[in-house]
This record gives sequence, C-alpha cells and structure tokens, in this order.
Amino acid sequence: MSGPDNVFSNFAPILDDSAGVGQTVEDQQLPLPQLLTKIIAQRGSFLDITEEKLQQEIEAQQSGSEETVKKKEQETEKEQEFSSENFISQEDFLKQKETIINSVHSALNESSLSLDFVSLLISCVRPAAGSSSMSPHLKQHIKIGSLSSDKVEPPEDTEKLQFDISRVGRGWKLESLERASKNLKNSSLRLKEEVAKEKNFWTGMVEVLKSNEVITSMNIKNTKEICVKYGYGDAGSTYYDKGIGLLKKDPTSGDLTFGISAPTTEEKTDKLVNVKLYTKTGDKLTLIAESNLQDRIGILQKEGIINEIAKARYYLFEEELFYQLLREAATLISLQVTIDEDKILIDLHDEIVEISQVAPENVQLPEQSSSNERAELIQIYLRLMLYAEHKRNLDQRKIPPLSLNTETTGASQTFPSSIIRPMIVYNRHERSLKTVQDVLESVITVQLDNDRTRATTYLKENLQLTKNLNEPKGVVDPFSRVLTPPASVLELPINNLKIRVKLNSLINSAHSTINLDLETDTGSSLLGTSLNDARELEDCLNWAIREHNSDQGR
Amino acid sequence: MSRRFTSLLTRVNNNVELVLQKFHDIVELSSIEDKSQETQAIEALQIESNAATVVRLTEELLAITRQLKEAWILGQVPNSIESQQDERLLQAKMNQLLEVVSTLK
Repeated sequence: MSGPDNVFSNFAPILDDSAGVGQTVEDQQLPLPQLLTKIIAQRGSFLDITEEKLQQEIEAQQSGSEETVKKKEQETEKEQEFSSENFISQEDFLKQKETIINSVHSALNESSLSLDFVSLLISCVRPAAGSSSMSPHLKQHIKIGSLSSDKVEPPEDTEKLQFDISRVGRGWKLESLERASKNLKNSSLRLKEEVAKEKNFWTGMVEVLKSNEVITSMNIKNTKEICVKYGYGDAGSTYYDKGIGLLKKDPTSGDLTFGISAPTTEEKTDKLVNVKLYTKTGDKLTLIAESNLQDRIGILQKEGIINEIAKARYYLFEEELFYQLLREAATLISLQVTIDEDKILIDLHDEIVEISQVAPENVQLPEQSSSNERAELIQIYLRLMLYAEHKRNLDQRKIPPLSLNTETTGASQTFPSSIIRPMIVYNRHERSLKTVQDVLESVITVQLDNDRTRATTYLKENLQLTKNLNEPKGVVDPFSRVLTPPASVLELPINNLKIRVKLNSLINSAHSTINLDLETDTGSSLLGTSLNDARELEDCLNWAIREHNSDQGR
Repeated sequence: MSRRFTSLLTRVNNNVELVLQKFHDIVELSSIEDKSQETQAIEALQIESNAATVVRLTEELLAITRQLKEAWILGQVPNSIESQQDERLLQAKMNQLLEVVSTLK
C-alpha cells in the first residue's frame, strides 16, 4: 500500500465496484491467474455462466448506464467529500494498523488459550482428541487429563440448607470451645504445678544464697547453668578441681539439687585424711595413736542442699590436702619421708607419723590412747598449713606482675609448698636442743663431782634458753614462725666462764649447726668455734673448761 | 543492662495484653450469625489456636519470672531507686561537708 500521501483506506467502494463489471483498469493490469480467481470469486464458477445471462447483464448495464453514471457522479462527489474528510495521515494509519495487528494477535492468543483450555478439559474424557489440539507448552507442563468438570446442581432448598450449615457450624464451634476450655484448664493445672516447682527451686536457691555461697552462671554445653562455687579456687587453691557445682531443678519435685561438675571424667571417691602414730622399737612398729575421724564425719551426715555443698567442700579439701601432702612428700626423701601405697610415712627418729586416706564408710572409733590428742593435733596442723598455703598463693596473686624489661633474678617466685617440712625441721631442732642440753648436763656433772641431782638443779636454775631467734619481730602473722628456720641460744654460766651455744637449723636440710662461744665474766671472748655435732661439743667444752681451770689454778 | 529489663517489662505488658485480646477473640469467634460453612470451619480452628496461644503466652510469663529471679540471684538487677536516692543524698551531704571544711574563716 505504498503510494502518494493520501491513500484511500475505505475498502467498501472497491468492493462495491468490483461487484459490478470486471473491466476496471486494475483488473486489466492483473495477471491472468489472479484475474480468473477474482472472477470466480465474484461470479461463481464458469460453469454457471451462460450466454443469455451475460447478454441480460450487458443490457441491464447499458440501460442503467446513464443512471449509474449519474449515480456515480453523485457517489464520486460524496466520495470526494467523504474522502477529504477521512483521508488520514500515514502516521495515524500506521498506528491504526499496529492496533489492528495487536488486536489480531491478542485475539489469536485468546483463542489459542481457550483452545488449550477446551482441549485440556476434553483430554480428561478423551485423551487422544484433547492432546492433539493442545499446545506443546501445555503438554509439557501439565499432565493430560488433569482438568475435569462436572455439572453441579444448585441446591434447591436454601433456607433448609442455611439452617443445616448453621447447625453444623454450631456443633463445630461447640466442639472447639470445649477443646479450648479443656486445653486451658489442663494448662492452668500444669502451670500451677510448674509454679510450685519453681517456688521450691527458688526457696532452695535463696537458702543457698543465705548461707553465703557464691552463685554464678556458667556455660556448660552451650546452656547457661546456675552454679555454686564451693571450692577453694578463689581462696588461693591451685588444685585442678576448682570446686564448681551445678544447681539444678529436679524435674519431678522442682527441688534444688546439687551436682558436682568436676572436670575429670574418672569417678571420684570421697576420702578423709587420717593420721596415725607409731612407735619404733627396732624394726617393729606399734600403733599408739590415731586421729579421731568419727567426730568429724558426724557433721557430714546431715541432709539438705546446704549440707551437701558443705560435704562436697569438705571432701574437696581433704582430697587437695592429701594431694599436696603427696607432692611435698615426694621431695622430702632426704628428711626420711617415704611414700608407700598411698601412705605417707614420716620418720621422726623414734616415732613414725603415718598419713593416709580413709573412706568414710571405713571410719572407726580409735582406741583410747593418751597420744590420740597428739595425732589429732597433727592433723589439725596439716589442715591449717594448707590454709596458710592458700593464703600465700592469694597474696602472691595480689603482687603486681613484674614489668618485662626489669631483669628477673631467675629464681621462681612460687614457694615450694611446705606443710610437712616445718614440722620435721622443728622436730629435729628440738631433738638437737635436747642433745645439747644433755651435753651441758654431763659437762656440769663432771664439774660438780659427778653429783647428778646437783647438776640437774644447777641447770634448772642457771640455764637460759632463748628460742626462735629468726622469727621476724613485730609481724602479726600466725604462720610467720612456721616459715622461718628455727634457731635457739643456750647460755650457761659455769665458774667464771659463760658458755653460749647457738643452734641453727636449715629449713631445707634440717641440719643443725652448733656455734660455741666462751666468754669470761669480764666479757672478753676466749673461744669462738663452729661444731658439727654434740660429741664434738662435749669434747670441746670439757677441754676448754679443763684448760681454763688449770689456767685459773696457776 | 537496664535495656534488658525494660524489654522484659514490655514483654510482660505485651503478653498480658495479648492474652486478653486472644480471649476476647475467642468470645467473638463463638458467634454463629449467617456465616458460611467455610467461615465457621475456619473460626472453629481459630478458637483452638487462640486458646493455645493464651497458654503459650502464659508460659512465657512464667519464663520471664524465672529470668528475673536468675538475674536477681546473680546480682544483675540494678539497685532500687530508693537506694540510688540514698547514695545521692549521701553524696550531697559529703559535698556539703567538703564545702564547710574548705571554706576559709
């Protein structure tokens, strides 16, 4: 349809025209096959064309030609008017063409959609027929025969139906309400129980809190648990078990329960540290005393959460005590301390102290003995020393750390634990003191013509003994003496001589050194020497006095 | 810390409000009127679900009380306003004393 600007777009006149004679210029220009088809389209098959018909037609045409000419003229006028009004610009035309094409497209689309719908519907009943007219897209995505239809009869009695519906609905709602009320009631009962349990739990918790236990929360296996710190971790203990217990709720009664959360997997058994005393006669050991565990175990028999915590704390302490004792004992072989099958044996010359662990079930009341008290005191001493150890650790923690650039002396800052050692060192010191006193007594006896009773009274009156010279003065620490090496001075005037024996013991080896000083009345020193044992002291003293006496006699 | 407690308090308020709301809903849903069968069916289920929600909300309230108690036990609860006021009073007194002491005569 290309051509001049104004193109006639109304097809109607052309159709009209073509209804008439097929002799227009256009017709003549058409190629023959097209012309023939056009003629067939206009006039039907050539079989129907007869000579008479054509004759009649031509006559009619000629008779009406004048009229038609007139008509034509009128029409052309009209057309001209019409066309001048209706000629449109090409842009508009193109637009209209586009809309037409779009409409055709959408019509095609709609129709193919409806075709698809219908074929899908049919495919339910006759799958072959349906699938043949179905679009490939539909076939691919939707199963054949998946849409079906049926005729539904509309309900007739709407009023009755409405009544039925409301009746069913009422039933449903009644049921629902009943279920809901039952649910609420049950839940309220359950929650009431739950509240009672909670109350139980928290009363227990308050009880624990009131007994001054430390309560913290900890993450155990990604769940936050409330814990109680019953151990000595915060009090300076370096033991691996910090003593943390879980406070849990008993699922049935809601009571607070206490569970130990030890970092170890192995089973722990509660044990008590026991002290036994033996005397040694030759190789034979005779039990003479035992600490009384029965009394202490009595405290642990009580029930209740607080007592459980206290019990755990008690056993933890016992466990640590024995652990620390064993550790220390391993370093004290030089002081005749041996470890024998979970027993620590401390050899104190004529008596042996045995420290062992006893399970609470095996505790028996010790036999009556006068030394029982001593055994009891030893075990009290051991416990107190562990407390002192804890305190020292705690103080150590308070010391600000050394800055890195200052030169450290290399000596480690940690004290070796000393619980048994002071006991042995002081015991040895006392023994040395006794021997020195014996030496002095024998020297005096010789001087006083072998009269033993006079010598004893003389010593009693004149011997001056000063102990614990090394103890720091003015320090109010109950453990300050325990930690300093023992040192004593014995002073004895004899004739016009003054004997001064100084006894120093080392804390590491418990070895005692003897310093002997001899002075005259006037204060001038005659002799000053260090001696290794009591025999040397005796010889030296005897010799010195003899010499002095002979000097005096001269 | 105080934000945590404000959120706990708002949760308490919200839960109480919701419990009331849900109960109100249950009563409202119980009516029949001219509702269709489908609506009735849905409403019946809604009643039950609302009841379940009420239970859940109440359980949450219990959990909140537990949380509060835990916080209290672990010493995470801020001091009461009274004690804060006491402290402030003490501070004011101390400042006053300082002023008296430091004034030159």
